[in-house]
Parts: sequence; C-alpha cells; structure tokens
Amino acid sequence: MATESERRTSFDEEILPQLDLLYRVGLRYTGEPARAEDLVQDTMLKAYRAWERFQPGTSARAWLLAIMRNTFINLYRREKREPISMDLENVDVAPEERRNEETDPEGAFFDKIVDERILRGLDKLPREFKEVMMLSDVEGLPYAEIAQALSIPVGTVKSRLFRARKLMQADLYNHAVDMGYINARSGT
Amino acid sequence: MTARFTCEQTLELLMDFVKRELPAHIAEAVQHHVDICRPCEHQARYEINFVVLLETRFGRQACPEKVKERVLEALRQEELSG
Repeated sequence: MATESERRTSFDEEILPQLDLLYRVGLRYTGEPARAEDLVQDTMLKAYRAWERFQPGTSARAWLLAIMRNTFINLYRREKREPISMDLENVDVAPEERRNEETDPEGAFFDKIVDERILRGLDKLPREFKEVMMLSDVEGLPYAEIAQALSIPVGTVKSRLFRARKLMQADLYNHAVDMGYINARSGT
Repeated sequence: MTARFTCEQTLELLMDFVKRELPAHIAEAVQHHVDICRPCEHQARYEINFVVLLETRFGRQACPEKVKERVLEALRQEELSG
C-alpha cells in the first residue's frame, strides 16, 4: 500500500499540471475569479481524497473535469442558483448558411472583436453548450475525453458543440455588424 | 484513390475535420473537396478561424500563482491530516 508521501507524489505528478486548465474552466463555470478559486480548491481536495479511485492509464484531465463539474453543480444546487433547465434539442439555431457571398467569408472580423465581448457571448450560452465549447474549442480536448468528463455520449458532445458554435458565431456576427466591422448579409 | 465528397457531405463533416477527429482517408477526401471548392474552403476557414480565436484568446490563461499556492497549502494540510 502506498504511503501518504507516495500518494501525494503520484497525485502531484498527474494532477498539478492540470491546474491552469481547471482554473480556466472554473472561471467560465462561475464567471468570477474568487468563486473560480474556491471551485479549483474544492475540486483539488476532492480529487486528492478520491485519488485511489483514479484508474492509471485513463485521462486524468477528464477525471478531474468530471469532479469539477459535479462540484460546481452541487454548489449551485446548494445556493439554489441552478439556472432554469432548457430543452437543449429545441434551442433555436440559425440554419446553416454559406458565407461565400458575404464581404468577409473567412471570418476575419473575429480578430476585431475584443476578448470581453467574446466571453460575454460564451457566457450567454446554456451551461451544457458552454462547457462543451470550452473543453473542445478552448482546451482542445478530443470528443471522447469530453464525453468522459461530462458523462454524455460522444454523439451528444458533437450535437451540443455544433449548436454552441452556431449560436456563438451568430452572436459574434451580429455584434460585428452592429459595430460596423462587416456589412450585413444582403437580403437580411 | 481519394473518395469524392459533395458540398453537403463536406459541410456535414467539417466540424470533425476542423477538430481532426476524422479517419485519415475521410479527412483526405474532405481536404480534397475543400481544395477545389471555393465556398467550402471559405466555410472551412471560417470554422478554423473561429476555433483559433477561442483557443488563442482564452486557452493560454494560466492559473494565478496565489491560487496555486493556496491549493498547494490546502493539499499540504489534507496530507498532514490524512
């Protein structure tokens, strides 16, 4: 049986490199640095207490993210701040549009949008969409690892990611039009 | 021989293509279509630029040192009490 010191060493080697990722995801879950710090600390302590249950060779990232997500959801329930649940399948997503006739078909306007506005767009998404987009497009996790972290099938990861991207792209596009970065689509 | 995809098939696979989650032979067929179809090339670039935007703006933010120290101290206390 591993000593406390050996246990701590193996935990540090596997888990501590994930602190940056945990903090970024925690920030998006909570929306506030102070709450994100608490969430990161709670997650790390829970992970340490449960370290025997981690299976070597599996994804430490996904394991840790699952703990963070559960911790966050429980925290929200305790504080009765759980957002109103949504029927995610019926979230209105603009139909796929080809952008070849627009003035900026490759989305160069993205570069003009300030970080704060992008974050606002991300934070406006339903939590289930936001977390998939964070893990996929910000953190670069593969579908399988996201599915493991969120305890959902890969197909659900893909459909949520698709919808999240469309919602956010539409939001940023409308913002870019409002700001005069690009011209609105003709006929709209 | 590389399979040939239509625009519709390509657009359906674009998200997986951008995420590099397609098997090599399918990715090759999507790439082939994107190389010869300007509208699909634009759409692919749009999707790639969107992901690059998120990754480069927000994917490099580090956990502040004070938070790391706080976590390490909490773990030290947990280790001592364990």
